[in-house]
Amino acid sequence: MIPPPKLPEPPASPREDAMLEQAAQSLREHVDQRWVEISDRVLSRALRATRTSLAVQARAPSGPVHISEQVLITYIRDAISTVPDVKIQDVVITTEGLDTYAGLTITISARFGVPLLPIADAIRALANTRLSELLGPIAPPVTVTTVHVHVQDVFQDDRGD
Amino acid sequence: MHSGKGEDNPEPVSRVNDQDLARRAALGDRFAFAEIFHRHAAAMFRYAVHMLDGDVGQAEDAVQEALTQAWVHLPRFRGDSALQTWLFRITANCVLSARRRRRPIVGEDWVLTLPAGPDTDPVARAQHEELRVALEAALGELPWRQRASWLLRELEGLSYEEIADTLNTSPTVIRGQLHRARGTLAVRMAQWR
Repeated sequence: MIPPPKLPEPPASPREDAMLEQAAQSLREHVDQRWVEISDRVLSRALRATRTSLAVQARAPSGPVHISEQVLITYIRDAISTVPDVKIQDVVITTEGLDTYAGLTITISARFGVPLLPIADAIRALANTRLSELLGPIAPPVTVTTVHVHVQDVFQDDRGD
Repeated sequence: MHSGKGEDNPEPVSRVNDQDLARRAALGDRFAFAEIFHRHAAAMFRYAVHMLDGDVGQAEDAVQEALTQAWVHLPRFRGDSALQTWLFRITANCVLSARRRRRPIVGEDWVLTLPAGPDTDPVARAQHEELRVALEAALGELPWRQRASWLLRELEGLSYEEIADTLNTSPTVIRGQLHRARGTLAVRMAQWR
């Protein structure tokens, strides 16, 4: 079998080649100028997209309404993000039937060494307040089983890296 | 927007790592998504422009689609790969779709006529421009996987493993693709040495 013709050896890396590196840098800068012009528009359009979401039944003074699960999650996250020494990992709404609120699971990581029970209590209280505001008189009442706070991990440094 | 530095959260998003930003954005934090955008979207756009032969209009559409998908699907992101890799994977798919949709068109001048660079010396600027245009032309002749591999490696600094993850192949294949891409570019750009 005749071996394929050997290609001339290319440079080890274009990074080591000043000319190619200069051209690559020029390529980066050239496109970046255009990006500056359009980036705000691209971001705002992306954020206008809506995520698929369950509808959860709530009770307004005028009667029953439905609230997006995403709205509940966002407001609950906002509320519990004020608890120190905690990073929120996940918020999951549980429903019964088609749209009846049944409970909440909040998964967090906590700073190493901080007492976990007071943190869980604080999170549960804040979640209760937000749920009451958003859903009206909800059932079942908020308990350790209907609002479950799960500590998944611990972190030590400020950034949790 | 609902949260971020300005409201209750005491930690500025600029200090938060990518994985935590992704979790926050998945839970609806628009400030976190904006920070992800500022960190990674320019590179996504660069990739799209060069994969679409300098067509900035198509590249904008592809990146718009990629970022919209990223915002919508972030709740499904589990952190199995780096956030940057996940974003590039979405971008690569959107770019590929755009390439399949496009009609073959003759390159137009406006595609390459973007604002001049920061160089003040007209001669240096002209040389810079010629060099860039030559590299764009050489890149345009590469098969798409070689071009994608080269762009992700040399312009964006991704590792072989990250490029393989982005392009849904193996690091060994990427190594071969890069070798061939570098060989072709070395030949095509030889006159500039």
